Amino acid sequence: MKLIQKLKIWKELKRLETKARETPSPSTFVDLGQVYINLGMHERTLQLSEEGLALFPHSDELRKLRKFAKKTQLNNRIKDLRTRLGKSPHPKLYRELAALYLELGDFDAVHGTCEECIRRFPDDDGAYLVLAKGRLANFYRDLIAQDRLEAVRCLQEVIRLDAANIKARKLLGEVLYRVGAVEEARFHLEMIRDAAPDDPELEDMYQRSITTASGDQDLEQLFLEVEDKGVLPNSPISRRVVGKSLATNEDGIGSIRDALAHLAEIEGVRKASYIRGSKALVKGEIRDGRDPFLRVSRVVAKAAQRTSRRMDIGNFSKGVVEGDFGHICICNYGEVVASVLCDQGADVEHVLAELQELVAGSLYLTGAGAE
Amino acid sequence: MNAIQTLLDELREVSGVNGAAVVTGDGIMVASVLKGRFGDDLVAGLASFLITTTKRAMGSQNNRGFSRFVMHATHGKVILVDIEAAFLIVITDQFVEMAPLLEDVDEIARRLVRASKVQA
Repeated sequence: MKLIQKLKIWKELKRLETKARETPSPSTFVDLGQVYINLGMHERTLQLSEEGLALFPHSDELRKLRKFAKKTQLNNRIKDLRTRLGKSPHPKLYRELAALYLELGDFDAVHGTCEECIRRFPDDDGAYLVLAKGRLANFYRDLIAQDRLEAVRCLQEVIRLDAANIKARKLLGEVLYRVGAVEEARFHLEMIRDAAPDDPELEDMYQRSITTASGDQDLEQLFLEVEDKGVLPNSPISRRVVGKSLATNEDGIGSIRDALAHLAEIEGVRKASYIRGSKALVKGEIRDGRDPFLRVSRVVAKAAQRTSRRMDIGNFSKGVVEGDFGHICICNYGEVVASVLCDQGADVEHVLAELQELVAGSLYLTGAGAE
Repeated sequence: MNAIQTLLDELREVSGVNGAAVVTGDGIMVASVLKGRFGDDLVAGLASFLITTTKRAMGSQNNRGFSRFVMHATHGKVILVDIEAAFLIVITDQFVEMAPLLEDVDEIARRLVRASKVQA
């Protein structure tokens, strides 16, 4: 009976795999994922959900599938780490475990694990650092002063144990900078500048701490102000393009628009567009968002993406369509499609390079690349 | 062995080329030198899908179609060249240098056009 049942499941699996390959849709991927889950193939489920999301990035069902698969995968690793910790406790294992809980978003477990580690290994700075990261994640999300206070306390403890800890000083510098305690932030950044000369984020943050006006230096007051207003006075460091202007949403769009205008000025370029989801920016001889060129770009990029995925050669990144009309250059990443229509004599390589630059820059500005 | 097959074999010898095929716009495989995971049916079907979709989309711009489509993906590249009665499909690895390869592909495409006319 068990064998027959197994055979039936494998037959169904084969059928669904073929269906997902031949007629891909979110539901075919989810159905197949369900079978993988039933068979306990969690790694494969995660892989499948990633493949599905590459084709259907907006599918909620696929996101749920990925979340579930990820959670199951993390839980398995947690179980394994717990067993190993039971046999021979080590700070590294605790850190790893706490980091997994952090990824799962289970802050109570992060706290419990770190506390246990600190109790057993009071001189280990790693647990304090993970704890601080968890608190900081909560603070940036909810802007509750208590989280910040705990995070700063943990980071200071790390620094007490290891004065040269770059990560701790950088995190501390960033949180202080973001709430407006610029002078104090600068102090920590200065301490690690020499130790990490190749870190552009650090340098950027340091330069900004020099040019940004220093606010009220009473930390308690600054954090309470942030909690009251619900806004951090300074924008995040990690999502900013180093060396460029502040990447707030509006500025980000402004930069994309500028880059598109620059693209449209290249000799031979007639139309230039930047499409993200249902929104589009256009430049050149293009009327508006209803111009057929936008539809061509979208459809061709989607067809090329589907073809390359089915051919098993990865994601479609760029392409050039040539004909009597000239060249259509397309650059694609996730839900972003940037395209250009240019004359036959245009420098296609240069245009493609600029397009790639535009797409990469825009992902960075909007934070999509960091997802 | 016919002339088309010989030309595809010649193309297959070019460094970085993983396979080549001649496919009609409606997905009929004329000749191929495909290996491994690139099955005849898969390549013919996908090429037809890409050609038809692209042509249809471009139809809205009053264009007659395209002469060449070069596609770059993470793990490979695909070149589609219009050879009048059909399309030449070339699949390469991701490291191939495009400029010299395109010269070879264009040359083979020209010879394929001539060969298909002679055969007709």
